[in-house]
Amino acid sequence: MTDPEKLIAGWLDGSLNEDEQAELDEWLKADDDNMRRFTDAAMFEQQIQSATIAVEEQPAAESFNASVAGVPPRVFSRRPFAVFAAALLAILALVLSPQHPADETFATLEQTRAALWESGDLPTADGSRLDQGTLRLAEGLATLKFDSGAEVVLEAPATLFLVDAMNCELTRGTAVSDIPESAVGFRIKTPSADVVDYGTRFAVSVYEETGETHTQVIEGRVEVEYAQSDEVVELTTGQRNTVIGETLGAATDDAEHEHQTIAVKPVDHGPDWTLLEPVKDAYTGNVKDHNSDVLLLVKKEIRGGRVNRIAYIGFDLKDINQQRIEEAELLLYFAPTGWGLASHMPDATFSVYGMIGDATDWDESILHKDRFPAALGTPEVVHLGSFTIPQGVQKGRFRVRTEALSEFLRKHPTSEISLKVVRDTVARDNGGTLVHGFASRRHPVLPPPTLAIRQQAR
Amino acid sequence: MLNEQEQLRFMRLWTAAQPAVSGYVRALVRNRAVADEVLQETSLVLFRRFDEYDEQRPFVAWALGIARFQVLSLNRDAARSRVAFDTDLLARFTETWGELSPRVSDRSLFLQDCIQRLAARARQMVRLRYYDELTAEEIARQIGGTGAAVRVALQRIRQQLRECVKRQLRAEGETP
Repeated sequence: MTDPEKLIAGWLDGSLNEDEQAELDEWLKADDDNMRRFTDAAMFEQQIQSATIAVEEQPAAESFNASVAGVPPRVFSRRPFAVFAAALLAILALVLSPQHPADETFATLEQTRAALWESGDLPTADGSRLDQGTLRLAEGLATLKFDSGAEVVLEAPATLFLVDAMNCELTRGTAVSDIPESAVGFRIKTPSADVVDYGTRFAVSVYEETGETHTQVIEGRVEVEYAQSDEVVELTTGQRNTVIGETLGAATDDAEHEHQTIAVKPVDHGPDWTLLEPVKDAYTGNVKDHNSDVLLLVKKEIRGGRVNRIAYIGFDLKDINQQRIEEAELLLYFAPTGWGLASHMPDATFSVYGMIGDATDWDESILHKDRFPAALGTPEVVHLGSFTIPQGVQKGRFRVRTEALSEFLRKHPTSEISLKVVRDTVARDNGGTLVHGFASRRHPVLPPPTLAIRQQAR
Repeated sequence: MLNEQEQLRFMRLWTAAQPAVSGYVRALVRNRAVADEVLQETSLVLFRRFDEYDEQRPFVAWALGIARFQVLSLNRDAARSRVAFDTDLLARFTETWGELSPRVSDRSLFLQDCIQRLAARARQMVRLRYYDELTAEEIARQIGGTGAAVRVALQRIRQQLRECVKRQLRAEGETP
C-alpha cells in the first residue's frame, strides 16, 4: 500500500495514475476518518491558495502594518471576491431588472381573446416577444408560441411563469398545450407535479388554493411527475389524472376538470322596471358526477344529444299586468363551470325558447339534472331570442331583449311561464367540450336568472 | 420569484456559505475559469430553487449538494476536473466537506501570515504553484530540479504551513 499522504498529495497535484486513484478510492472507502483526513487536506489546499492570492495581491504597506500589529490580515483575496461579486451581480440582475435584453426572448404572445391582464412583468400586447417572467391573465384567453414550437393557450384566471423555450411554471389556471415534435419534452411545472409532454395536445389546470394539478390528454402522451417523489404517471389520449397534496392519482379515462366561480355585479334597471326572480329552475343532463347545485349547466355535445345539458327557468308573473308589458329582458349571469376547455370552444350562441301549453307544469325535483331526456318529453316551444358568448369568455351578464320575448309574456294564457335555454354551438373537439353555466336561484353570490319587465304607464 | 425578504435571507445565507462552496468547487475543478463558472451557475441554481431549501438542514450542506451536481454535469476532460471518484465517494466527500468547513475556517485567518514567514525559496514555490498555478513539472523547469523533487518540496511546505497555523491557533487559545 502506498503511503496515504503520497496519494493525497498526488490527488492534489493531479498526478495520480489510474492504479493510484483506485488505491486512494479503496483507502477512502475503508474508513470515515480517512475521508475526513482527505477532505481536510483538500480544504487546506484551497485555503493555501486563497491566502497566497491574498498575499501576492496585497499592497506591501498593508502587509507590513498587519505584521507589525501582530494581527493576521483577514483573508479577502480579490479573485474569489471577484467571482462572488460576479455571481451576486448575476443574481441581482435576475432579481432587479424587470426587462431583460431583447435577445433573451424565447416566446411570442401571439393572440389574445377578451383578455384582461393583471400586473405581471412581461408585455401583454399581441405579438409581444417574451423572455423570462410572469404572465397573469385575469380574464379571457391568451396564446403563447414558444420558440421551441410549443403552443400554449392560457385560460383565465391563470398565472404562468415562463422559464425558457421548453419550460414554464403554472401556479393557477389552465394551460392547453399543443406540442410538435420539435418541442417534445416540453415541461409544465406546477406546485404539485411536473407534466412532461411527448408530442401531444394536453391541458393542465392548477387550483391556486391547494396547488392540486389536473392533467388531461386530448391527444398523444404525457408524463406526470409527482413533485414530492420519483413517481410518474403516464397518460395517453383521453386520459386524465389529478395530483392533490400527497396523492398522485392514477390515470382515469374521463377527461374533464373543475374551477371555481367568480362574482359579477348585478345590473341596475330604472324605477319603472320590475325585476322577477325565478320560482323554479333546473337543468337536465345525463351526467352522473359533474353536476352543480348553484349553476345551471348548458352544453351541446358534438356526439349529439346524449349528454347535452339544457336549462329550464320558471317565472310567475302574478304581480304583473301581462297585457301592459312594454319591454322585457332576460338576464343570465354566467360563470366558469370548470368543465371542458374554453380554448376549444368558438364563439358560442345560445337560444332562449318559451314553452307552450302544459309544459310549464314542471317541478324542480322531477326535472332533475341526472335525468335526461327530461320528464317533459319534447315540449312545444317558441324561439324568443339568442345571444353569443365570445370565445375565451366564461363569465359575465348576458341578455335577451326581443319583441318576441315581450310578445310571449303578453300573450301567455297563465301567469306561470317557462323558458328553456340551450346552446346552439358545439365545440371543435370531442375531448373536453366546454360546459357553460349560469347562476341558478341557489347561487350564493351571483344574481339569479332575472326577468326584467317594463309595463305601460296607466 | 422570491419576495424581497426571502431574497435578503438568501443573500445572507449564501454570503456565509460561499467560501466553503467555492473552495469545494475549486478542489474538484482544476481549471479556474471553469470553476468560477460552476460556482456562478451554482449560485443561480441555489437562488432559483431557494424555495425548496429545507431550513432544518444547514444551508452549506444544501448548497454543496447542488454544487456537486453542477460539478458532475461538467465534461470531465474539458474542465480538467479532479472528480475521479465514483458517485458514492463524491457524495461522502461533499458531506464531509460540509461537516468540516465551519470547523476549519479559522485557519484562513493565519495562513497569510504563515506564508509570509516562509523561506524565500519556499515562498517562491508557493507563488508559482498557487498563484501562477503551474504544475510541478513547470515549476521544476523554472527553478531547476525535477517534478518529483518539487512535489516533495511542496508536500513539505504544506506540512510546515499546517504546523504554523496550528501554533497560531493554539496561541489564540483555540483548538485546531
